[in-house]
Amino acid sequence: MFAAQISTQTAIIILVLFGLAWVGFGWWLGRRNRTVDDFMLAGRNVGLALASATAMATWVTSNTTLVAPQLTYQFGIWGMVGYSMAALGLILFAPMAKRIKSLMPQGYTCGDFIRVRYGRGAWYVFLVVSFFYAMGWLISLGMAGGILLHSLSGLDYQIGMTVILVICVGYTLLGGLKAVIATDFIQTLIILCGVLFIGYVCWRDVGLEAIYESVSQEQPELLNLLFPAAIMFLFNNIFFGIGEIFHSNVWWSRAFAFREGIGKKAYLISGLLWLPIPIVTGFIALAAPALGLYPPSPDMVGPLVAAKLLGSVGAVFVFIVVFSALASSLDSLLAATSDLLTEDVYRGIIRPGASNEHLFKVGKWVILCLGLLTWVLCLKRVTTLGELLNFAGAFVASTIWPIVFGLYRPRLGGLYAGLAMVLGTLCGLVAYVQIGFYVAALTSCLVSLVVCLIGLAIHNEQFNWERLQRMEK
Amino acid sequence: MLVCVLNLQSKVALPSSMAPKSPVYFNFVAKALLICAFLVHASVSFGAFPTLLSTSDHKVSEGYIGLSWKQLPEVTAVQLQVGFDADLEQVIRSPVLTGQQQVHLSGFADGVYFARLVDGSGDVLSNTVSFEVEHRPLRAASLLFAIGAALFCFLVITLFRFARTDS
Repeated sequence: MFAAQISTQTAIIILVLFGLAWVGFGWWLGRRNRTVDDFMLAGRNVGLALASATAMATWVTSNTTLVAPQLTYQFGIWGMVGYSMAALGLILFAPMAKRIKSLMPQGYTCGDFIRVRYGRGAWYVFLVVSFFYAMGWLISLGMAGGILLHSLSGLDYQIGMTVILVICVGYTLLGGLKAVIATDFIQTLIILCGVLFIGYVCWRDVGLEAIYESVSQEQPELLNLLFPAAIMFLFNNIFFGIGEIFHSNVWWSRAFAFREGIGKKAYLISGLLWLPIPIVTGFIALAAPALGLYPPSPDMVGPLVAAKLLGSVGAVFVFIVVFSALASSLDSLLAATSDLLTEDVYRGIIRPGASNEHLFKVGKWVILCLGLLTWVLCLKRVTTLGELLNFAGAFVASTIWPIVFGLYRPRLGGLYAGLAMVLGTLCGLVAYVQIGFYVAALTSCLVSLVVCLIGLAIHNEQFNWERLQRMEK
Repeated sequence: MLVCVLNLQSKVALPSSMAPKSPVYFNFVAKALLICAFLVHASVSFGAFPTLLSTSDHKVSEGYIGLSWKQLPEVTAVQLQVGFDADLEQVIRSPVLTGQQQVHLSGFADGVYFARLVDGSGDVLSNTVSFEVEHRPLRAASLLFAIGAALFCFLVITLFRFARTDS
């Protein structure tokens, strides 16, 4: 057991209290949900404050609280800066959110867009990519929950992971997107205050000079701006972040749920608010050697440093912050993936004539099944969080260009959009295996662009945008 | 092994010059016993350390490495010594690790490194392992960086132009 941990008993008490609070809140918010629009899209009427908070809180996740310190510990300055550049995904999505809402005012999912815009072939490819990514992210969040509890309280990984999944599935199931957005708002406040406080304590107690000296003595490469793997990682991470946001139903469902004219502003604000958070969480990882901390696994460095800095009482605080960050993403992802499976797979493929009342019930079952599947896949901790997430990078980065060109240019056809996703993903995976995880997304995005440009050059389809307005089947 | 040799001797027909009680026979048995004693001694020396230290990789190109070992029942804190020579006369890192069975170290420059575990009084607790750090060529990394930068600029310009047309 490490120093400055909280007792297992304290961890369990916090989990039970938070679990009851979130699940109760979810039930209270969801008691007036009557239609599938209420459950999946919070009535399509979310205002600016809640919209900005939910976008930011969802993007502050295990990535930011566990993986950003991990990548800083492994790649140094570039790891920290590169991670913060994932905010560009939110910022660049801002104008697209406006376009999405105006093109598809009655849309439900990103799958709807791909199906109508590109046809069934590209839609199937997109669903595979999207589902693979969603499961990768869900698993990483479940794993992060287990790691967090284990590193801060010594509680068994599997028990911690199970408890966090049960809580998030519970309140998402009861409250739908309303509960997700409302809890995100509170979680955003906790995360922002918590992260800033931990960063301040690190600066006050350890000091920049001590951090610089210990890192330059023990980990000299971390301060090297010409660190080869870190240089390769920088743009890879940017494209990974952009791919995650552009393709994922987590962000599309919010674009549909936000009130008219809100989406663009909300995504811009959330991106700008998110930008400094990985810098702060990454910075504290650099303090590890100065504090005499050497983590067993790189994804544990953030919570360990924070717990050491704040002592046993402070560890409770860290626990709550990271738990909030995890919950805010896990609930969003459960809700958005459930929407995708309910709307695209169930209504689109299995039962096209399903009524909205029926879909309302199916959506809840899908959330439950997704939670169960995630639990099974998380039981064995097979890899580190960073590696798991970056494996998904090859998939998501291949969707960037088909979505950008699909939203704004009527010429690109379904064949080339589908090919761009397939070839981009395959080449990204080859790069992942042959070179390293830090080039997968970049390779995938590049190949996807080349295929899309070929498609635009030799194909002359003229897509009718009104088909999206009508939501053709 | 000794039992094995003796059993083998009893089952295999020996040449007449090596019949029991002959000087050649005693010579043969004495040599066999000596060899066995050496092998037993060697195996004991090899496994003399209380724990076995192992690395996640022998050659890395990202400057980070994982080291793991089995928990020592009566030792709470161990010191990991990392240096450039097999005898670890010049130690460059010596983190003290409490309650851990593995550690992840990062930020290594190019070179061959050696590592072992010692206790508080400096007694060696594990075998010495080595790993090589060889970062990827800077030229290849710079090329990927340039491709990434160009691709990113193209994406931003494209989105900016599309959004302007849209509005």
